Amino acid sequence: MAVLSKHDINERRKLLVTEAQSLVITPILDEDVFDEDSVDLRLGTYFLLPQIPPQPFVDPTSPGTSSQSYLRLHTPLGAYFVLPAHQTVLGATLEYIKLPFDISGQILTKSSVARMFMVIETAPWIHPLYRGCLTLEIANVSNTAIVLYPGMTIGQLILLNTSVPEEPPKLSGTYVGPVYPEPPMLRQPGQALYRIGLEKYRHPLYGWINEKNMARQVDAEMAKLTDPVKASVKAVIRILQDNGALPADNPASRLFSK
Amino acid sequence: MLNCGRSSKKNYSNFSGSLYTLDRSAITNILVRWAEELFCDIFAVRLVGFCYSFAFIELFDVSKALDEVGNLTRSAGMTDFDEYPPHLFRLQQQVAILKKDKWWDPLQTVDAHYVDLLEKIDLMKESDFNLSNFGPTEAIKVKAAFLNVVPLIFSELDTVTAGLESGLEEWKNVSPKIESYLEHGIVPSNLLEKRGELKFHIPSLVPLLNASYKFYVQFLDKLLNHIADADVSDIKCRSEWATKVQMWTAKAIEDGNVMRTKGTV
Repeated sequence: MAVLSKHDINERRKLLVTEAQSLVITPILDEDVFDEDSVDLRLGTYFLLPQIPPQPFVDPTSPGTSSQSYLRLHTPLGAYFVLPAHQTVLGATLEYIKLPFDISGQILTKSSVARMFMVIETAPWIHPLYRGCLTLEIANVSNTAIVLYPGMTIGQLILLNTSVPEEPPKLSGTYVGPVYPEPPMLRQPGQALYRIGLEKYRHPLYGWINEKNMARQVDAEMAKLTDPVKASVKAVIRILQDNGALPADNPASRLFSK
Repeated sequence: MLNCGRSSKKNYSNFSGSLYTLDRSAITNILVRWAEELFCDIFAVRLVGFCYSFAFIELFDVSKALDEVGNLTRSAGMTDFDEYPPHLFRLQQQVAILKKDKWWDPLQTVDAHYVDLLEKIDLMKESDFNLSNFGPTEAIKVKAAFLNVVPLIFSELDTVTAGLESGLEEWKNVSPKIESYLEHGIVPSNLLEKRGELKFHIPSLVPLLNASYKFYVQFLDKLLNHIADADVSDIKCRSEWATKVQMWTAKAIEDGNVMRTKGTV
């Protein structure tokens, strides 16, 4: 796995986008962003500010976690964004990137930024074929607020050859083509844990949960009911949900999605 | 725009003496609003090209005017309102601008029912438009009055937009490239001019908007064919990816502005 040089990167940039080996980085505002073995990336203009959740923890299994917990902000070029001490924000690179099928990438905090005790990326690996603006998990780990200017160089992209034999037929992945920072798209832990043999997990509010077993039992009991009774049961559940007695983050709510 | 409205009002005031006296003021106001609305339509078409008409058809759901086999039923878009004339009439005037600005012929290469609809509307005669919100006698007079004003609106547009570059030629040149970028899920803000050379073209607003709209109505399936688990027949899936095309286009416009004005932001 060799790091691509400036020459290699430019050779890839010269290819048509229809070619599987082509590399796209746009916009390029300054050719000086190409170092001998990396490309400087700039801070974009959109941010997702994490909101303090109503409960004293963030539960990644909660259905509302990904979209409701962030405030979206636009800070245009020429303006600034203040990140208070010990706070975090999701940002994105200004550059939109398309990686070839045989190139992986890694984004690193620029040393000048890192020396202000700011971290821009905690999931730095970029898979081949990725396309989109890179979401940055920006954390100010210093004791003072830091001013962020969209357009400032903030990260370095390192590109590496991978020994993928041929181009996969289709694009896939959780995140395809974002131009804004993306909130996490979380999967149910129950399913992942079930796959590795764990039938139940412990929820901080609701205790032990066995989703599969619960679903099976509910399905079996519902099957015994006539249609009008089923409708009544669902209506009761809807009333509970609407009045907050069966909150959305309760695993039982997933069985009766609105 | 306001000048256009005022000049139309001035011109129409002379004509409206023959209208039903009690409603003359109200009708004049309606006609002024129609004139302003029509001016805005044709001004937008001149400014950005056919994508405005496509967006118009989509926003007002004028496609319903076509039946299942593509005949114009006029079941939609024929109603006139206080604020604007019937949608089909507005579209017919937009077609007139598309023809005048030479967008019309290249538009025939776009394989979309929006184009079929515009072609059908273009064939409509003045007598096909009946105003429904006026009495029978008034309707004839109001229609005649408005048709009398329409050439003035076009004339006003020519004055306001004299020397404006349409972006048509650039669109012809770069549209296939923009479509190719979108097909591969890439923001089309910096188009490679020639394979093997590190030269790029930053497309302007008009080619971007029209190429993207053309891609959306004609080639969205091509994009979906590159995506695992995408179902071309699923409306939700199509809508999600159409939104992405929209976001990529918006990003390309933003990028283009930054690249053209770099150092001056």
